[in-house]
Amino acid sequence: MSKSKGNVVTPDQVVAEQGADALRAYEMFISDFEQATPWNTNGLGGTYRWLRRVWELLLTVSHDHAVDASTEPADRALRRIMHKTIKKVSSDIEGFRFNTVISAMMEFTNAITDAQGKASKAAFDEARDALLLLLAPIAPFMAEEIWTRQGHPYSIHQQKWPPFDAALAADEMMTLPVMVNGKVRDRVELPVGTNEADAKDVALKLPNVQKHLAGKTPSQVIYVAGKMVSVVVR
Amino acid sequence: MANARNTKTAKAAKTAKKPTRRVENARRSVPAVRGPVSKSAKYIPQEFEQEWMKRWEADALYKTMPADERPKAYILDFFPYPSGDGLSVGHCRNYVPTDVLSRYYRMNGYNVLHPMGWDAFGLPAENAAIKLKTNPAKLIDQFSANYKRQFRLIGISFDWSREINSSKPEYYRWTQWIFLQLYKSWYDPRVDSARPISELEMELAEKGTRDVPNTLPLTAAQWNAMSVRERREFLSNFRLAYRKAALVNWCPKDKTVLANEEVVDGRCWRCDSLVEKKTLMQWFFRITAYADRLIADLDTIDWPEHIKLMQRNWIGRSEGAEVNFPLDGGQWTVDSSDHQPLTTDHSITVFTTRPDTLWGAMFGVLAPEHPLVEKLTTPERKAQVDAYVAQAKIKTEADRTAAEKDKTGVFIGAYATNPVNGERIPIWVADYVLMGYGTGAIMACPAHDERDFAFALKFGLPILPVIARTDGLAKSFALGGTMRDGFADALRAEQIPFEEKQSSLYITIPPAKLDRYVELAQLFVQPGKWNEIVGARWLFVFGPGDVQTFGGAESERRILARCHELEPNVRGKRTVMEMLHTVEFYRDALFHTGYGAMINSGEFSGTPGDVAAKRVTEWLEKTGKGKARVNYKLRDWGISRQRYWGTPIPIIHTDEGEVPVDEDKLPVKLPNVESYEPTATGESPLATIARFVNVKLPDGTKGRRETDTMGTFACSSWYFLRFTDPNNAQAAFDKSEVAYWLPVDMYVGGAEHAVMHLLYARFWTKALHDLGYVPFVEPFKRLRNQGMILAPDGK
Repeated sequence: MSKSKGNVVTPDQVVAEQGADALRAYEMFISDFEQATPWNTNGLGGTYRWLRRVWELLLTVSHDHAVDASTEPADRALRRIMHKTIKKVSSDIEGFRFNTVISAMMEFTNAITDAQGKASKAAFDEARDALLLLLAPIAPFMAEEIWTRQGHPYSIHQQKWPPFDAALAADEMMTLPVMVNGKVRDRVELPVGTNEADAKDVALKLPNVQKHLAGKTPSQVIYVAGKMVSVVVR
Repeated sequence: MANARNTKTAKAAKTAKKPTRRVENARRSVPAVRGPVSKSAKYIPQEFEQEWMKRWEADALYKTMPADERPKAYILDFFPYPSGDGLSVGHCRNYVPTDVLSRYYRMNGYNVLHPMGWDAFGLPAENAAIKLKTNPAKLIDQFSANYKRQFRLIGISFDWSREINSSKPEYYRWTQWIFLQLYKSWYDPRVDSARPISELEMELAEKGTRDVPNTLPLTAAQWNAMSVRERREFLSNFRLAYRKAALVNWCPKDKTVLANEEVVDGRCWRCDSLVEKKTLMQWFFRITAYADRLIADLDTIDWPEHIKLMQRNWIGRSEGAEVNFPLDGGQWTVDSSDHQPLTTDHSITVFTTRPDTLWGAMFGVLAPEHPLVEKLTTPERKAQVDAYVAQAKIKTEADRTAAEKDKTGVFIGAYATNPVNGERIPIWVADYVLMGYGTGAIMACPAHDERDFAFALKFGLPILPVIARTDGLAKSFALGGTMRDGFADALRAEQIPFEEKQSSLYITIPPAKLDRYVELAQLFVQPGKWNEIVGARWLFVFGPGDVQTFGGAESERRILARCHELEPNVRGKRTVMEMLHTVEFYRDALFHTGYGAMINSGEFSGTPGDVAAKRVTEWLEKTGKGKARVNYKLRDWGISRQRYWGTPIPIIHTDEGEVPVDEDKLPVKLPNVESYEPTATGESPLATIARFVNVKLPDGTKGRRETDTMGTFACSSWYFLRFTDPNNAQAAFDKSEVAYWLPVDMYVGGAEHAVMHLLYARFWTKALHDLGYVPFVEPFKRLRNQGMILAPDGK
């Protein structure tokens, strides 16, 4: 991009058309920070539309479902993705991986949208509040405007970053490969924290594992916690 | 500032529709008011974005507080030269991420320093001012105001109360101050640190240079007998900022000095004249004193590996030996009565990283600028040599040293003696040797250096392999008709692989089969023909029991004579290697740079490659023929610019030598002038301003101010320190603020500065550390380089 080539895109043009926040989000999203990449005017529409969805989600969507037994799984799932997003956005900003910051934020936006009517108001609002705080460094103008319209005291840029809770971010289920004589023969879904005996027990009962055992007794069963089950048979 | 803020907030409060309430805040309390009210419930960013920026600025929301108990984060962009073109979306690629990071750290409770300023001095502004017939200071104000407007437009949270402009006297006063600290210091290799020059003066008065390693010999008596001027001149060999005669680019038509960047393909960028090299007095910073520390400390910082590698290569540390080649004086004292006769103790000193290849040194090459060229050239060679030297002067270094470039050079008529084997070798001048690297003279070992190989081949100079191949590659080309029938079958039976093309055999001999192959070749070679083996061995098989080894000058003569006699086609070939090189199949086996065992090297033959260089160096030192030496590609940093728009160098020239301007007389201000055009004499336009140039010193003597200005890399070598305390009128910075904020936690900018700014800033930081001004040795803990944003058309 250079003046002599007559192909310069200025921030003034972009701000006039899509706004400064969309420009900022696109500058982050465009590619790996250290990689050369062409400016794509259509790509900018993508970040603009995402911000517009966030705007609507935070200012115009209302949601009144009280906490009860029916909201519990959705609440847990929403909190989990919320804490995962807080962690990812934090570590990616620190690690200069800005493009994945934006994609994580987009996924979080989708998850909140999908939780409408399933999660409780408490969990839903908690997620929306976190989304807004995470948005503040990325889209500072819009974050301030929404913050004010929501009736919060000025300024969002003097608020604390949302806290991360590892326990709430933890997955509930894990999927482990089960190997027989070094080859993956099946997969097993288990609650996180399943003990060794139970994991081995469930794995050995899998139909595909049974098939490959062909009636023989395994000479060895190894459980690598949270990673895999390996069966050896002679 | 405070008044303006109160007025604005009060006004905002009055127009607010919601009732106001006070909110406590960790850092300050501000009246809570509604921001500008949008008309629309829809997302229309233009309705509110710029209103918020005004509000944040009015409230100084991003103002950085001085050092406190909070953890700190110093996040810095390379400060830009504000160009008239303004920012493009490409430039925003580093400013947005660093802003996101700054805002993130603020929300995490850090005290964040995220400032911005202007790298305002330098040619772009000066040239723009000349073109627009205006003052560069005015242009900078105008351009930086536009940058600032654009930064606000995209919501960058700089603390503008810390804005700095390197062309303002309030800033460059301290650039001059640091110049003086370097001027008043020297590097003491015994303690690996910069020290006050006054301490060196004391030592010289007492002991001379007796205890100072690698320096000019001087006794205390000699020092004490020196005049003030002589002492000042002597000390410039030590100062970290010093003046010396140096080659510069000179445009003969414009009569001006050009920066390297202004020389395009050896021509002036303005008038297209061929650029010449000219010697002028120039100021330098002694960055070479810090070469080892600049390499070692790279391991302590989190920077992209490619930038570290570029710095290491730029510094270019190599271990090797300096070797003296005695000159063959007799040769031309006989021929030239008008020359001063040289005695045999005169010698050419060369630097080599491969002392193990000394036995293969077949000729010497001097850089065209080497002072011995003029002294040694014989009268009958003079015209040719002078023409060559004149032509070499206008080429760039890159042009001269490109490996793929056709080699040029001229024999100067003189000879030297290879000290390891007594061989008499011719001396050439060639532009692929640079004056600035090593000693400006090389021993050419064509069998093991790519450029020397190409040079020797072109000029028919002998090439002798003196290092064994490490890959064992051995080849033989059996031209059709040179071997008896059945040779191919015999090779097959021995499992020696070959290709057959047009009845010629292209044979690659496995190491284990070499002896067997030599036997077969003797059996099958036709009378009156020969077969050769190259690579792992160098043999010429002329017949049964008639095998000649190529291993020195004598064998080369013998082999060539026989080949010339047997084969008319090779009679034009001047050397064995030239003859072998005509066979394309041989080319990868003729030359190598590996570290194999020594061969053809007298009693050193057989010395294993991993210890060869070391053993030869030890022997050179023991026999007084040479000594171990570390060499660097890095040169001292030239900062003189004969231009107006830069920091004036705070030195006064008197009849008794240089005198530094008193620190309390700083800044030496840039005078307002009518014209910024470079002068016809090659001096800075400042030289034409009598009221600037002529000064009277406190003792009444008259002096002449230095009229060179400093290149802008001086300004940018310390601005990151100034941001911590930008308005300090008493000092460059407050030591405790610098100790709190530095090193920079995240530094972001373009990779094009890898070996300029990023190296210079490290050097100044280390010098300031040695002198006790900063408590750290590396200024930038983490560095990231943004990728370029290309236009939508991919350019």
